Amino acid sequence: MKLNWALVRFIFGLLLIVEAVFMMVSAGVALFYHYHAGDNDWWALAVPAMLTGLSGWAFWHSGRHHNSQITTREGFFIVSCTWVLFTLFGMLPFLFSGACHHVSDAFLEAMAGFTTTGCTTINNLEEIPHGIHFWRCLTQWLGGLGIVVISLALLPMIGSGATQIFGAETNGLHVDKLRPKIQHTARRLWGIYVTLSVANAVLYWVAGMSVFDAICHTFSTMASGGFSTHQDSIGYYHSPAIEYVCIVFLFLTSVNFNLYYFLGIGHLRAFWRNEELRWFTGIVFGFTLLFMSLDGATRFFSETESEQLSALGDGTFLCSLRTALFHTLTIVSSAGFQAEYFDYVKWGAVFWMPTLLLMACGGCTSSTAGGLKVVRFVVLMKNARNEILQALHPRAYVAVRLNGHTLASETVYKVLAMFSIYVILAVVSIFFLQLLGLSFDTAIGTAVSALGNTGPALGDLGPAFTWSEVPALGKWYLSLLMLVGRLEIFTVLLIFSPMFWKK
Amino acid sequence: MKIIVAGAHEVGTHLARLLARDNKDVILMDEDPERVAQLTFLNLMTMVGSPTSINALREAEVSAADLFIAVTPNESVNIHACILASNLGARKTLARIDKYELLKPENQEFYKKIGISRLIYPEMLGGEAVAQAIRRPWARATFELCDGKLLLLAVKVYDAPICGKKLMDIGRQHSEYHIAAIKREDHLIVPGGNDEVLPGDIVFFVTPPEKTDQVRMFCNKPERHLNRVVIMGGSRLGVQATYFLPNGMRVLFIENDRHVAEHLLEVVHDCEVVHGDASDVDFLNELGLNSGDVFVALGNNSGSNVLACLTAKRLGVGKTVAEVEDVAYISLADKLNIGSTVNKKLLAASSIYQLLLDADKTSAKCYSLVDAEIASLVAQAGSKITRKPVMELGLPKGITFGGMVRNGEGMNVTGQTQFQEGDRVVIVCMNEKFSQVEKLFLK
Repeated sequence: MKLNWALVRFIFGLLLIVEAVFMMVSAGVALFYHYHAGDNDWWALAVPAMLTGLSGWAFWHSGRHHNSQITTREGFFIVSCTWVLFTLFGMLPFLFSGACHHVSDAFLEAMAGFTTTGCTTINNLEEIPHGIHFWRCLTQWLGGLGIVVISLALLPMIGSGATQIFGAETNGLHVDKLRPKIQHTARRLWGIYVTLSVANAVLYWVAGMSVFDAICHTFSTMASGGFSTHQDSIGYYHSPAIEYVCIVFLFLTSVNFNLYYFLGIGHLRAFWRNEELRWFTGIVFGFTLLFMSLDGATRFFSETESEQLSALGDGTFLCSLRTALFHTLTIVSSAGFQAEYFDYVKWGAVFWMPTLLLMACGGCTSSTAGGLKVVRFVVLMKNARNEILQALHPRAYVAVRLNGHTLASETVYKVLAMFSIYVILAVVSIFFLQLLGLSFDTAIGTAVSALGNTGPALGDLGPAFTWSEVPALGKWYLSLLMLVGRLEIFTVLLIFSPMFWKK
Repeated sequence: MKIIVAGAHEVGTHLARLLARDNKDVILMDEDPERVAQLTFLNLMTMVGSPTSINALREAEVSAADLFIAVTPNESVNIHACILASNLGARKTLARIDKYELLKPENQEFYKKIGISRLIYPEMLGGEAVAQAIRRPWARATFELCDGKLLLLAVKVYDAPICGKKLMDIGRQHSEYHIAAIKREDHLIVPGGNDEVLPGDIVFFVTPPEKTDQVRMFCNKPERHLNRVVIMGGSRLGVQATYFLPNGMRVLFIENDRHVAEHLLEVVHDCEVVHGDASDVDFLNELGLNSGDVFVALGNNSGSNVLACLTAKRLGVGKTVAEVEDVAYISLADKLNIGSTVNKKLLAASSIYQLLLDADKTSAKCYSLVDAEIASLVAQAGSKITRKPVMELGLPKGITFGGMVRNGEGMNVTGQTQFQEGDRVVIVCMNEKFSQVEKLFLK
């Protein structure tokens, strides 16, 4: 199959120019701190920004005589490759500034940013200059809503093909449009994103962060990424207020952004009637209760060590509630921030399985959260219940109902297919990571964490550690896994299927 | 401009495609999720819902719609939907109908009163197109530009004097017409001076109406005297076509349903009706087809229409016209040299599109060929276009001026033409060049 290469290059070019602009903003921040704090990293951002801009221009220029014929095939190809291209250029500042020493480290770092996984390979975060921190957090903010969505909102030039690439990037059961024009839809989503971000930054600042930290952590929180400017993440501040702000915004950012639009135009029914949101709320509070009771049980049984007890918190009800809420939300939203008491590896093995479940589950569709999305689990569960009903009453006619409408069986099949590919991918990845020398629990945690874009894993890669110890091959593999997880499996895997390239 | 299109059948989808490409906010609604599912990748919003459901219309925010277009295959549904939509606040409504009587001037006021601003009758448009094809049998298709001041004619050329010559040489000798586009194989070329016309090309000419005879001669097409129309299938389209035929033509219907045949005798005066099957070659032979005949196949099945036309051609008729409702068949029919094809759904969609463009003065586009746009723009005082003659403007490739209307009169454009303020210029350009052209016309 011949792709429309000219159009592909044209869109690549435009998107890279968007990246260059954001890199330039980071360079500006670095320059500001050059004069205020003596940082010397502005060139490490300015040079890659120029390189990205020039490459973007070259792509754009070579593809400006394109015809506007586009199929979904180009859409999938453009989106998958754009994410890789963004990562390739986005890792340059990490390499140039010396924050990462190896290409595999830098690539993983940038991919972790764009896919909002938020796992890091940098072990000396406190020594990294401001500009690099800013860019590192900004990558998440760009990737959180989706590179394409942000670009469509900012660039009016992508006319033809906008729908295809939007469809290939957005997650969920269907492509949901808020407005007839895809560009207008993107602009509204972007508006919601910016509004929430501003609110978040102000609240972080009020709760006690410095302006720089507030902005960087906002980028991380809104994108449910998990990068922090401190090695101890949110735990660095020892501030319940900051943790509560983080909890609230992690919840908000895991909700379907389309619902905010409906809320904004006064369609309150669409907001309250949304079944996924109700399930998500249920999951959050259910797991919070579960973790609190597990916490209580662990304290009650005498064989726990004192080290484990101190990791669980100071034992008061409020602290336990806050820690449980934070844990649930930071995992389910796929952010992976660490609070003051957040080392579930130390808490004990019974905490691990619910944590893995939350990682796989993720937030609502069309949010910035990762994972398989709540709605898919709802569909899976309802379908399983239907199958049991069908077995009991072979003549019963059953269908999955969602938000009061029956779901087409094709949609249910697609969810089932995605889930099976997810399981196969996870199993293969766990085995592969074990071959690379990771222990069994580490491998499980890492594979699920990468696929769900969460960040912290289990075992040797738990919240207390960075991913710098993974072998280079493993880093490349995990980067790919994160991308597959971020673009919801099909978009990336399609490119690798021979059918995609056949005539 | 917010437009709601109800009914995702051929007319609706084609129209929605045209409108979405034209940067309008389009919502396409249909009851059937499957019909809608195939269209999610267009730059428009699809919605599953009945056009006659008040809830569904509210959900589509019909109160904010500038235009509501009901084009389901069912006339009653369309009228019902339009009444609901206009009462819910749609600014203008348009319904597709299938009875001529609704279009009568004395009924217009009534429909306005119940909230339908405009009615469209695809069979009538189809009938006009059939008559148009018969009036100019040598042309594949005719489009009117600038209120009919200029015509766009599509002609297939074989051994015409213009073949094999460079366009700049042709232009020097004949300034009566302008070659605006050439369709070769499956793609469209907007030619420059160095391009040439090859045998087998379909050439699009822009010319004032009174000069069409010259175009015919340059294409080496003989003038045929057609005196009988043989129409296969007594559908409404066929009946409409008889109303638009040139005077003095005899009409013969072939119809194999007795009831329809009797009905034809009632509605079409002075027509002959024979009862028989047009796919039967012996039967066609009995009709004594000759070069003075036009064979028009208007059956339900596009494939059999094309086949019947091929048979009739072999029997020596002067011109064939086939109704091809399957869009996929159209280019096939073109290749098989069926004289003209008629697709009433596409005609309806283009005609609605045309109505919209007339209403929306900001848009200049007239027609969309596959890859090219035909637009007309008015030269503003002091704009770049008025400063130099055409040949010195340095027009980019893929843009050409088809003609112009000056003081209400259609004229041709040559290299020496100097545009003046107020000239309405017909532009033919490849899709992506349109923005470049617009700049030339502004100050």
